[in-house]
Amino acid sequence: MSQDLEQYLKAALLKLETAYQDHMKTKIYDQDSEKLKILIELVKEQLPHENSSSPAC
Amino acid sequence: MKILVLQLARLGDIFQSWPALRALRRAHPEAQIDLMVRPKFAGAVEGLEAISNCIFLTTEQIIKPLIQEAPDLKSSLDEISQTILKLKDQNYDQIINLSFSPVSSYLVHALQGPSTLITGYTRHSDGFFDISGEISTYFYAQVGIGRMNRFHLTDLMAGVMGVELTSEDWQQPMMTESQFKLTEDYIVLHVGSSEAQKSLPAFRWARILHYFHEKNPSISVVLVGSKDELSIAELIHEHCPQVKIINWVGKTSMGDLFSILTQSRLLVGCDSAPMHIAGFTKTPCLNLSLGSVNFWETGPRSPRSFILRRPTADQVLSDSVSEAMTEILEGKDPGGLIKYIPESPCFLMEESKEQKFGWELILALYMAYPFPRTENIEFFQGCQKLHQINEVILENLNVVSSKNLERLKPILDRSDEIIHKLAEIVPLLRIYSSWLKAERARVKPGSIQDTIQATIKMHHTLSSLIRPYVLEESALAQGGAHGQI
Repeated sequence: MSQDLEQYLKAALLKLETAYQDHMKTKIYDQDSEKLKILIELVKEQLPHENSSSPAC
Repeated sequence: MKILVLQLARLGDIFQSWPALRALRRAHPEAQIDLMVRPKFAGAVEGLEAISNCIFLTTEQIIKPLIQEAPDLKSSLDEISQTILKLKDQNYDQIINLSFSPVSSYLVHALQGPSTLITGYTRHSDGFFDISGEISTYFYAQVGIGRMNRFHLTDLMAGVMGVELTSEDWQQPMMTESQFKLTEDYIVLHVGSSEAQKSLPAFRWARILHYFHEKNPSISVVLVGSKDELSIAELIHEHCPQVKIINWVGKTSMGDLFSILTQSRLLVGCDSAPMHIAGFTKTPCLNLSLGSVNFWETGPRSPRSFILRRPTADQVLSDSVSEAMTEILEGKDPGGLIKYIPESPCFLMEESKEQKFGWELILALYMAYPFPRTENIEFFQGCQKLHQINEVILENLNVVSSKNLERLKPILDRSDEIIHKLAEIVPLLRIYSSWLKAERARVKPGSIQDTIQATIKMHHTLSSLIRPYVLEESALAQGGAHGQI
């Protein structure tokens, strides 16, 4: 994985996690928070993992 | 009836799902059975007659708007909304999650209708992790890297689906005719693996083929693998010019592999998809199991298959491997190797009673087998500590239930932390700590009082599961377990 891609993924993850926290400050867990969680996990899967490479894409 | 099965893992996992999917089809001959996979692994669905439709989770398309200087969150959210909407429109009666991943658990919950039957990982209404089904709970607790599970993934997937496997589930699929055909005598070598540390370097493969050729000069070697493994194949070729090598790396489809393996006398390789395909083509295998691979879970299931288990590639001796290859071709059982048997667990390995202890303890916890005996004093001491911690938790839970409800979470968090640390010191205790973690995930959202009652029940069960290994203080002080539980 290129360093650029990794940086983009990390930045995307941060943005998604912030959006999720902001959402949960005002609302309960709902369909929108679930979509954010799906995106968070999809991005996490792309990042290099200690034990295995990503199965994603 | 409409059934959606999620299999979002890799090629090997998809092939290992085939028998269970076929059994599911047998159980529901008229049903619409859709299988969701990643587009990258679509090749592993080719020829799978048991499914009605193959659906792709287009991860790349969904997250593409996020992978840029200024991440476009809205477009990604629109993409995921479209994906969910399209699938929800199908109104699946049952969703079976074979993926065991966080993303699949959220996706399953997002697709769930009011009457959808869910099996496998999902989410509670509050977003907390939820495990639906006994086998998925077992999977969460005891399967994976560093665990002591010995049930094969194929059997576990069938268990998750609630189906019984038969030999017809390993039948070779009908494939279109392949252009990759040979009339000569040959064996197949898969040169790569899903991860570098699970395979051998090119030079080592070349030495193995060199020694093999000395004893089997008339047998050709077909190299197979993905395009990414082309350079390994070229190096192997370079290092052993005397061997008749047919290099098909990067050229074949998954369907071609069925045809190639059917005619092959042997498949040699590490933990990879061709080993699972060999189960359908009934090709004998020599599987080099390296690193973190748990051969009990993913080893080859074709008749006359053997496993050479080594912690690292350095410990694989080229002449021993070539010797084993020759012996398999001659119909002999190579000495010192692990052998496939059509039972469960499906491999036969020479080992001591102590080496088997972790697995036998799992059987006692989950299958009501007798608790195994051990002379491992560290394990007894660890169980003593675990028992003491569990008693403290139960005392606190009983107090909390009647007085101060807010104290519950910190108590549970702290006790989990201590139990986790204890399992780091005595690894066998991980069987108990993982059991507890999985049981916690199964507690449904409810009133605090209900949660406390469920938690008390769970710790009482834990107490009964540890009890066979809790000795009197005096016996521990004398340092003696002596096999008497």
